[in-house]
Amino acid sequence: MKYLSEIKEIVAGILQIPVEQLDVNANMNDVENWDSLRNLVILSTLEEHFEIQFPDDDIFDLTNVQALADEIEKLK
Amino acid sequence: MLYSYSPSLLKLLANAERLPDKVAIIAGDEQVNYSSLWLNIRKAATWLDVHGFKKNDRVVLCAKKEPHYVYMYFATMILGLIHELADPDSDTETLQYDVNDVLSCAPFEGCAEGVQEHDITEILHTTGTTSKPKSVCLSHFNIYWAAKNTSDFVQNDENDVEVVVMPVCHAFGCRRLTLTLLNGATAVLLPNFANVQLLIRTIEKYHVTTWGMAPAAWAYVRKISGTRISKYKDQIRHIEFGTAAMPMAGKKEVVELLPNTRICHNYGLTESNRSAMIEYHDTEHLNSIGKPIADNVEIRVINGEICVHGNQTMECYLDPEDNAVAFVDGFFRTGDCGYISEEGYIYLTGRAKEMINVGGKKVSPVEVEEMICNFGVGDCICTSSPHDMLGETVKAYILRGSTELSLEQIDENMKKLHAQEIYKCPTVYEWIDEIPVNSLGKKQRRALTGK
Repeated sequence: MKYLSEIKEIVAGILQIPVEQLDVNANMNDVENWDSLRNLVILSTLEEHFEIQFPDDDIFDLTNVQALADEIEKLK
Repeated sequence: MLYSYSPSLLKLLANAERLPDKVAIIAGDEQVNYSSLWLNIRKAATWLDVHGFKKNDRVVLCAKKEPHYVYMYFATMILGLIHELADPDSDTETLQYDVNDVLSCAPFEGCAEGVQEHDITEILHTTGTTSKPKSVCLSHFNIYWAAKNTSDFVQNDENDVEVVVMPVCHAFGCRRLTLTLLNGATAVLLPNFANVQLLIRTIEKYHVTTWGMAPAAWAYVRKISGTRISKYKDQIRHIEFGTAAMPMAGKKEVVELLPNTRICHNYGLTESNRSAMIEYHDTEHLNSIGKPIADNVEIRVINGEICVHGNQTMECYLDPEDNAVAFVDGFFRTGDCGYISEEGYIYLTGRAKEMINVGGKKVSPVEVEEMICNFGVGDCICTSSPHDMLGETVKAYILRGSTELSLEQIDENMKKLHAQEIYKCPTVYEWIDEIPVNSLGKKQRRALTGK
């Protein structure tokens, strides 16, 4: 996974949790601080950082870090 | 009569007797029926009593969407205590207890003596139009009528299944939860809106019929899930919007996606609770905030300002200083300007408040200005700035020559010092040569946004 560790850093930074604490397969509702507002910040930061745009139809399934990484891999 | 001061407790007692096996609360894998709910509330009352809490004592509750919070919330009323609701995300020190300890107590018999209907039972904190949020004092009478008026308008009943997603530390979510339980309906508790997949699965699994949400949450749900919600158009009986205005296009979109659902939008403040309501199928008056929510609520325009009086209007602010200008002729001053049409519909013409709505979180520009000035900026002024994902974010204008810091340094400081409240950090910084103020020296934020 080319971008996984970079994505983990960004997400952990926004959620204000140590990166090693972030389980890439954990559902967002089981991850501390991951609320809707921070989810929007995560999505927009990743879009900006990787110069991509998440297609509307795919966002629904982006419920953990692994899914975000897979999606970004697909879009790059 | 026991609990005669609290119509809310009387309702819960009646539900426990009438619907003992009906599920009252679902939270994750846990389900609590009405008989257990009442029993556990009484156990929590015993726990509080054993720990020395006495009538009129204040208890700060961490408003987590979990059954034990609901037990404590109502248990305080049995003892005539005053509960103060704290956001679980805040650093506020809250009552600590072991849930197993609470549930191992014997149920409390009776209730506190001498408690009156108009005694304060709840303190809620407003976000405030200035940097100092206010503490709102609500009585047993107020909170019951706030829930009842809302329930009657939206037409909630015991057959409904509510998904409670909004925070319950604020009036909006708190009253959604209360009205559901007082009606003998079922409340499914979800931590937040973040995982829309979970929300949709919950709607499907529990056959959810009602909920309340902020317009920002609706925009979020739409962004994440597209039009999937319309699959439940014949299932969802009503939705209540609140906390902010919905753009006209949003109102029309909700009705298009959910044509058979009663879509209500409340107008109110923590102080006045829901005061007016509009139903989105009333297409002729969608520009208005509707009419008073119930017969016991009166709305008048006094000196151009919307003022409210009713069973649900707060008793007072906690700080006597705040009360000095809060009421006029017994009516609570909302700070909003408007007028009432001949048909009785209320229209807002301007908001005295200048809150910035960052993805549903209300941010006081005054508070952010103080944060910025705290690390060596002479003066600044904050306004809203449009943002694709979040709707609005904070924009800061820094008074040129009032600091030796660069805009980048200010940004870095803000992000470092206020990382826990990242939504308060401005996303745009600009220098300004002069801070616009009126003749009284008040900052004129609208002059910069055209809002």
